[in-house]
Amino acid sequence: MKKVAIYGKGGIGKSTTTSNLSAALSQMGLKVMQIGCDPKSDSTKNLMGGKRIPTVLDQIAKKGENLSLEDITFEGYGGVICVESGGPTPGIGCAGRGIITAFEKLEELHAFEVYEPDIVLYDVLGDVVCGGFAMPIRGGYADQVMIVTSGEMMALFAADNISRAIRNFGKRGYAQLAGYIQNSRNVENEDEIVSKAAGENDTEVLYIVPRDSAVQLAESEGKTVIEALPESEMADRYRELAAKFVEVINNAVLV
Amino acid sequence: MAQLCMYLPPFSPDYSGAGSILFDLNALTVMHDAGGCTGNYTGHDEPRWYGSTATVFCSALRMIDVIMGNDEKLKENVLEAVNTLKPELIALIGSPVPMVIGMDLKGLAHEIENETGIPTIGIETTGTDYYDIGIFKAAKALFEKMDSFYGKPVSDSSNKALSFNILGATPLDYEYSNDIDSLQAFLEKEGYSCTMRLGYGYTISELRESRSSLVNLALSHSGYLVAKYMEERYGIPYICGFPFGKSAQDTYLKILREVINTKTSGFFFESPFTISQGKDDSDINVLFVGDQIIGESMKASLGAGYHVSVGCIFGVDKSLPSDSAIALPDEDAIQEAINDEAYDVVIADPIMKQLLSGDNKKVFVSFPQYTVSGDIHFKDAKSFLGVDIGSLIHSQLTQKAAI
Repeated sequence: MKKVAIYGKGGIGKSTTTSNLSAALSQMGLKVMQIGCDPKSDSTKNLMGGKRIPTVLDQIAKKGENLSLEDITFEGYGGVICVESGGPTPGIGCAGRGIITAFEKLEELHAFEVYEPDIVLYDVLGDVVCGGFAMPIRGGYADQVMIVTSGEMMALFAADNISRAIRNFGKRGYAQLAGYIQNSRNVENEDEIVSKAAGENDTEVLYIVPRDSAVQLAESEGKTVIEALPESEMADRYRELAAKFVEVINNAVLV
Repeated sequence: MAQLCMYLPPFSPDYSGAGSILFDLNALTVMHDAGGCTGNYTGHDEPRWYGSTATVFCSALRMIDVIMGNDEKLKENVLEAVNTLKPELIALIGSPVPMVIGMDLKGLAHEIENETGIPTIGIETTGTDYYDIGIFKAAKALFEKMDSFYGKPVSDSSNKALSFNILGATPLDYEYSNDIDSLQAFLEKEGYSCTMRLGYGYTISELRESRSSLVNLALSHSGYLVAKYMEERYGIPYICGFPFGKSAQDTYLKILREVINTKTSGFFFESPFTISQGKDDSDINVLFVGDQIIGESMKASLGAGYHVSVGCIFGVDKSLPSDSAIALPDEDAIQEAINDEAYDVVIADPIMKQLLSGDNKKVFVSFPQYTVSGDIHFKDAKSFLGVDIGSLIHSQLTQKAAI
């Protein structure tokens, strides 16, 4: 089982990229679990036919000690096991602690032992704003981190912050930064800019996802490109990303 | 590990101070916590709790409520209790967890007030300050609420004639409450009248009236914080300090008159005021351990012949005329200070006696403080108001020498 956390600035296309990656990985015969770590809880929507699934935290609040794994795990496209940690309404509560609690609950219910996924993808909200949002990086959770970014300044800024957080945890033997996934926004000299930014954080761009209207078209149907437009050029790109992803995680020498 | 306590219990925190102020009011008081803070307050920091009918509740905060910011649960529980209890005031007191996540207690109080029509306050105590800060935060919230809910006090000098409020005299400030009764009786005998004793035997109506009093008596650091606030908000001057010893009471009265006449706040322990005069045993070095203002008051009451250091275990307030204050922020510092050979006499809570080394030759004067040892030494609390502490020390020194 390999566990990878996907981080990046809010709105940069993390959930889209992660869902398409999950779908493509499942087509390669891999068992995938995707865990959305965002109070918005829309990470897995396009794997679930456009429907939102009940979140771990909502279910804890509702069912308390009677909660079972079936209440919080849902099978989506390609057999991908979908989980949403959930969180409070914006402005109240503690979303970070929510992620920790959701993770603890998954562990308590032996989610990984029951489903035995080959790959676990954590799709994590925006920036590492507090301890809770660093949870996927921390010991025992993700082995590696990939950062989704475009060539836009704010996306690169967030990528830089996340890279620093990972370095900050370096001495603790936590997740390593595997590289950047460029989700192109057609910014001038984008490939060059993102590559330079990755180099500044001692990492590299793993794959460049082009901008393509197929993504919006598929999302309007509540699906990934892999499901909605399997023959499209964009579906091939996501399949290439999946192949690269597998290569990176297999070649990783984890400390 | 400087904050580690091996012998002493943790001193009363801010939420206990807030609870202490609200205890006597016909208030629905809710500590927003999982249970430990409320238990700590009612079980260890509130001598009035057992056998009382005070309505202090715990919100039974649970992890999932914190995460989801489930303010509604607290609100619904309060609304339900209001229907049964018909309080005059509702107070929500903060504890560490809701405060760390930035819970908006004041905003929630506003919502509850709008729905119930009952004045409601949110007190953002964090559990990381001492009781004096909690008393101040609660008092400030109360006065702000009195002003906004009932309107600001109308200035009427006839109502204010020789009226005073006692501030900083909760059971957490003074374990032996009879001393406060005696001080009040002494002043009433001199023609003054007490409008309110904040936090101890008072009502909402007295609280409202207190805003028009002539003068405030700040008897401890918590009282000083409230007095400064009331001076700023209502223009009421204060006298700060407590007259330990018989002769001190006359000096106290003299300064009180001066404060009233000049409308300028004053300190009972501030030079040039000295109380006792000319003791023979001029080499006696005394360490007081506790509240800064109570310590300074003792120092002033002892007067010449004693060199008193005021060991402040709840922090040193630099705005006070207190040139002998030393900070004792943790158990190590307290232990080091009370074993310092320079001191012949230590005045401290009896629980601190265990910090003294076995071979010490000091005189230990017990001064129980509820905020330090709870009810462990409650029965040992004695009056200090009419007692000449100098004579007390002197007799104990003589006894020790005889042994």
